Amino acid sequence: MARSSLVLAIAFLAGASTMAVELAAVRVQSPWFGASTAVWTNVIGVVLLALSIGYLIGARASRSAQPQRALGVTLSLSAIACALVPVASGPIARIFLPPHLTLEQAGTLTGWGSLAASVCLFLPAATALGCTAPLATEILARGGRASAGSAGGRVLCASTLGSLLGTFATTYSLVPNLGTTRTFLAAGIVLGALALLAFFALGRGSARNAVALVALILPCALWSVAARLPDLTEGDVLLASRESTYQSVRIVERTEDGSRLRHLQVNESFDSFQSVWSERPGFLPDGHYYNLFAFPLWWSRDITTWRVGVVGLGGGTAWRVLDGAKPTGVELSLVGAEIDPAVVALAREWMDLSDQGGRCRVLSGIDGRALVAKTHAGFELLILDAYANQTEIPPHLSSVEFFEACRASLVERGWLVANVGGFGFDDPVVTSVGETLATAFGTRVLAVLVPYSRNVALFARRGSEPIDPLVVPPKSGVAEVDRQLAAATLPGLSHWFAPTSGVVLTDDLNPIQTRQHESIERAARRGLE
Amino acid sequence: MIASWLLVLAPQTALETAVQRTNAGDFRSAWSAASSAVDPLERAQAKVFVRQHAGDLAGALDEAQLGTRAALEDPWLAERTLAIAVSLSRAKAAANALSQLDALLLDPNVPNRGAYLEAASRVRSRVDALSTGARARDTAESRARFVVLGFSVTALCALVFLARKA
Repeated sequence: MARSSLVLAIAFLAGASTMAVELAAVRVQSPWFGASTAVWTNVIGVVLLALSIGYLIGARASRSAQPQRALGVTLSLSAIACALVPVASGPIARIFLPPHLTLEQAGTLTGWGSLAASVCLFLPAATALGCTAPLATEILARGGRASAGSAGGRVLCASTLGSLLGTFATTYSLVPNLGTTRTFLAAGIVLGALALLAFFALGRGSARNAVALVALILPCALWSVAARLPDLTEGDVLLASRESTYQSVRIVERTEDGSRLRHLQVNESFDSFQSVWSERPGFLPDGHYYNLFAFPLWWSRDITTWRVGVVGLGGGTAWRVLDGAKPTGVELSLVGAEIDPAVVALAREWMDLSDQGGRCRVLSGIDGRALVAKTHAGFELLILDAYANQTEIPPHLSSVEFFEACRASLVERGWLVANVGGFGFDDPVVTSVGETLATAFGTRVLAVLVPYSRNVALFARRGSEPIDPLVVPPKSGVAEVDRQLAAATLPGLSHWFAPTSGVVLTDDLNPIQTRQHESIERAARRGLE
Repeated sequence: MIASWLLVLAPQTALETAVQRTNAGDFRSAWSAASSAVDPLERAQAKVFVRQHAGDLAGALDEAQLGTRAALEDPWLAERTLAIAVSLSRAKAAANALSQLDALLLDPNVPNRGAYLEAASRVRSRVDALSTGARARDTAESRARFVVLGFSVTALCALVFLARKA
């Protein structure tokens, strides 16, 4: 292989490794700090700053007599730094995040903690990787007597194409198949091999080869070492875990009051979960917002056949609750969209998610907006329970345009129920989503505080208003149902949002993530009182 | 259990009515009964009871703290404030309520003192853990801010230095 091709190959693979580090960096942090937009921003910011520093260090090193040696050294250092990330991630995260915090206790700590952890974990590898481009450019310019512009352009092209490969390979192949730890180690092995190549093929063998050998051997030696994960909550038993394209997913089981509950958790989780399974379908213990999804079945007893759509099916909890809590004689059919196939696979294995003889259709890997967009007047009940990165309602699933599509997907007098994480009716997220939903439906929206929880359920109807919960409903004849419905009759536990001519969330301008940040900060402040 | 003792002790009162209606699942009329109590302490107790049993823990804590401020000498209210604050993981509120309950229970003539002592003892370690956790959280945040600040300054200096040398 020609010397210039070799240099470009190194630039290409170093570029791929850089993106592998950057994308896997978020994943290695996600069990601790989550994978929110703030965490992504912190990681990208640290990597970019480290690369800038690396470029200048590389530029300075390129003036040495043998830039190929400097290239070998920086590649070796980046390989070692990559290999150490999974080992160091747990202990470093523990420095900035005490164990067993609740979501509101964590508050702003996830932002500051992830930024500090990013500095400690990713700065060394990214800085070393940043050195490679100027060094490769110098080697190319000297060896081929090319101009600086020509050499720099070719190196940048190779490096950027490598980054492109690294981006797709990391997200769609490496992390889902190898896992986060081995993605870092694989990057380390590649970089270690490149270091050896730089020493042997570009320069002359020297004592520095030993550094490259260490750089190659270290990630290989750590191949079977597992990264330390946050401690499980006392009493929880881990049943299964998986790295998906979107997140870290796990199933944990605990026994409460003699009955088994399984929780599907993602990423950092804190005290949150995405889905719950109990042995018996129907209402879950107090504090679970899913119970309120069944209210429309009891409030609209004239409807006996319900076609139910679920945006954000998760492990199918909504289905199990509805199926077990429905009035006698009511027939249900369900179609649910869940964007993460790994969630569906785990739920099928551990949470009894099945097609129920054709009554339950699961759209795996489908975005909720697609489900709503292609359904016209098809649902008696539409449930919105879509979250990304644990606490974030995706902007495209909280805009007025999306809610208008939801309205169109309902039959006349059909119901929409949305689960919104928020701390009361004055919570910025609850207010924003409630007013946007009311505006899209053109009617008032009922908000009900979920008992023993920090969630609010929003109820909207197409062409009419939800019933007033303060008007005590007639007894259903089922004690558990009456008990569940009764809590909403307490003044202060329900609230109405009216359509507004003011600012609502739109596809074009949707500050829902800012609202969520404000919400968590307010709750954290309240928690200190 | 403590609430039921209150019922035994008290004649037919707004509190008793509120408790009965709450237990029957009629929260709306229970709230009306609670709100109609003339005695501020009884009103506070009834409102806390209704809100707590309806699952509005944040609202119950607000009522309990309001009542506590108005009737500092009531151990039932202090114990409820403590229990709810612990449920909500509110470290400072729980610590304050525990201190207040401890102070009230220094009086050996407090009715049902044994039960209150037991209730306080049950959650004491949890209150300590909440306080420790809150301190650890604050320390961790300070540490993180310090690291970020130190890194930012160092990175800036490094960039300036290297840009001049490169």
